[in-house]
Amino acid sequence: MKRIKIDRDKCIGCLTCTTACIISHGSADNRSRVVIDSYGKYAPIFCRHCEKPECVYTCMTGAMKKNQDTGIVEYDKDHCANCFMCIMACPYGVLKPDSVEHKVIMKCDMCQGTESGSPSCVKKCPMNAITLEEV
Amino acid sequence: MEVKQSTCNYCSIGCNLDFYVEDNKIRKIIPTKNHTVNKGFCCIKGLQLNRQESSRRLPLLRGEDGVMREVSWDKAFETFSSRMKEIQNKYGKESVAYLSTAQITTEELALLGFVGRTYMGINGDGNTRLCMATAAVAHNQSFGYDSPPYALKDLELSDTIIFIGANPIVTHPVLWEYAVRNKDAKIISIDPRKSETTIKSDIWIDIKPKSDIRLFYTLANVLIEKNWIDKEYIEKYSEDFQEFKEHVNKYTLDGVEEKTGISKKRVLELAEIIHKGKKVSFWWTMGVNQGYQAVRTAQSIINLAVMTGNIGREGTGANSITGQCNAMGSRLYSNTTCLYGGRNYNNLEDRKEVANILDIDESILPTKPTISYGEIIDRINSGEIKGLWVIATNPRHSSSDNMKFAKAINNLEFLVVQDLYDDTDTAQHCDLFLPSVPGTKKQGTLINTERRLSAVTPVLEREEGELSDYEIFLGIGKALGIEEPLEKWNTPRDAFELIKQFSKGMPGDITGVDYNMIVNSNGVQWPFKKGDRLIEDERRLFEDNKYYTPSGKVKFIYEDIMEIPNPITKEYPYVLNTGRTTVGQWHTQTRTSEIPIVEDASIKQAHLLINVELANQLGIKESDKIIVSAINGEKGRFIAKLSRNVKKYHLFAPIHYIETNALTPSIFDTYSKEPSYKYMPVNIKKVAK
Repeated sequence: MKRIKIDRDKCIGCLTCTTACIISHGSADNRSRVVIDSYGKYAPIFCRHCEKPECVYTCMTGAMKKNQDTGIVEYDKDHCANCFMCIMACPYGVLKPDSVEHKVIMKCDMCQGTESGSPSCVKKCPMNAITLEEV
Repeated sequence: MEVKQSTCNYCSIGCNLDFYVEDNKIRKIIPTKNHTVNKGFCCIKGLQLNRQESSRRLPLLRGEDGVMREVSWDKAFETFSSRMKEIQNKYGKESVAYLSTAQITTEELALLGFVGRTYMGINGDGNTRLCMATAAVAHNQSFGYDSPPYALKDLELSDTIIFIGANPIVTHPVLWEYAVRNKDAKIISIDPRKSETTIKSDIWIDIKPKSDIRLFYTLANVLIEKNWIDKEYIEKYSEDFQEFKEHVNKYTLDGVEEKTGISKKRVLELAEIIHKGKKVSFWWTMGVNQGYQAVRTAQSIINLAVMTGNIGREGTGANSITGQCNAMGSRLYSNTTCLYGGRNYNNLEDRKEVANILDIDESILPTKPTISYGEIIDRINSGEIKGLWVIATNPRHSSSDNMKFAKAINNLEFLVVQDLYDDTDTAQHCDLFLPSVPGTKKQGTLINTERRLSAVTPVLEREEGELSDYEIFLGIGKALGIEEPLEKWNTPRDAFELIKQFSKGMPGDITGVDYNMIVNSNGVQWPFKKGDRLIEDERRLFEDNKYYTPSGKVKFIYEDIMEIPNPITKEYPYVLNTGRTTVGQWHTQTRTSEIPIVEDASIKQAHLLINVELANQLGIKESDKIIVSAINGEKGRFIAKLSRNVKKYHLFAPIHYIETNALTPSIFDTYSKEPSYKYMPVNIKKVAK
């Protein structure tokens, strides 16, 4: 599958990826973020659509599923019990609930369900710090 | 959920945003789809405008015990009026002044200019002086009016885009998108630092700091010698070219590398690129504006565009990118550096016209432009100014050589701060704090970098006790005893109608703009005269080759290149440059430090970019604490960030931290009085552990 690859040396912390993510999903929330590490370096954090996804293993309802064809870890809010186990289990701390109702998990869908069709963050990054690479 | 369109009030692009509102709360913000300016995109700041909330509803007054306590609005207005009048009676009219902003609406700026400049008879300058004064003066002198000539679309239409002292990837991301959409253009960046924009450009011209004017005069000379100029355009539409030609004759290729760091060969290549380009556009911002010879540098860019016929056509232009959301409104309608509408304080006809519109006696209009921002601070320190009113700006942080303002605070008898936040570096020291509302609760107009009027719509209802800046100005005006003349200013819409009248017959005529035309729309660029029809949404000036000078021709303006007024010395051997480093942080951080997404991605302490090789030489490692001492006698503590993007003897500090402007100089451009923020000799020392 194609995954979002991050080149931290190119990241300038402009948050264009975060902006693109919010806009692409017509959302109030971001599904990825950028933080500063202990050396003061930018660290963009994106869902990795893990091979062995903890969020899927801990999901009690099957709302979080690994699509074996695309490799994308998909989230179905209609099946979600809002137990937040996925949030607790994610080793990268990337998952969080929505900021309005605190129910829906803000989960990267590689922009599959959006007008963009492919990750908007990658398209908009002005520095090509994030790219879509086959892994 | 209700959806309300409004204009972002951070930077000069003026992105339009759709605010989704429920129960008087903004649930989400989405950039307005298909809007001419931002085309459904924006930056992170715009998306987080819901974070802007009033810090309080009632004013605060400092008691004799030094404690700030809430008082009623009536008491605050009465205190403002009585204290300011008392100071004026004791020390003279000009013993009171104000420092304002380009972060409020045009209507608010116009009313402030009416109450402050006209009725209080005081000096009042804006923070526009700190960023755009140079461009305004350059335009006025060369074009005959403060008129950025372009449409943003010109970036998409150029075959050669030259950025000068501009880093739009960080400062104006939506403007950069225009350049990105233009897949065919060659992009050249002229900057002493390897900025984010230079990295993504085709060519980086890595000039020595403050040598841009030398490079442009040399380029002009080369273009003339090679006969790569548009003689017909020069002949028909410009004046003083012959004198300019003689002036640049001495700037030969021989000395260029020593002075600018750019070799003869590269200067020739650049000249050839300009010559071969059919649609060359030049875009400059703070790297040019914030210098000691900035107006002439800006004009050296204008001269290049004119002599090569790269102006008044699509994809061309000598184009100043504006900084703040309403710098253009402030430049034309704040009654500070010019009479309303870009009129002249000394022109009797202009004075009569404005007085008639306002129904006041012409003699009470100001007779001269305000003294500048820097001069106001100097006069506080010399004891001439005793009362200061600061509106939506933070001079304790943002003024150059900002410890001067720290000293000024102690010299004031009465400091009033009017702001959204009561905890800014300046507000913390005030005697009276007047809380205003955010732009999401205001009505008015912003004018963007391409002269586009766009509506600020109140997306939220105000709660009881909350007043907008407009209403605070009205309240102060009434407390000062201005009654009848304020009847023409009852609402922002009234002010908009006055502004239209001020513009009548001027190059920026907007008499044809009905307010409804700029609401829920793409906005309207000036000029738009009564009777005009809006056929094209993106228009540029000078397509008719008529300029606003008395002769109708664009003027070549130039002068001898100045020596650097504060050169490096043995004791201060490094050049400190300053600027923005993140998209998320805005200026002094008053508006963006409350945005978690931005805070998560921002370094908390003041930091300094230092070349890796120099750092090694000085034994400085990543994240070491260092002391930066400047030639003005000030020192600051910074964290070292090792970088390959600054040259060996250059340093770069972000402007978002108060430590930075303690180190910038009290040196100003001769004509615009804009501070020279970009060049300061400093030394650095590692803090012993």
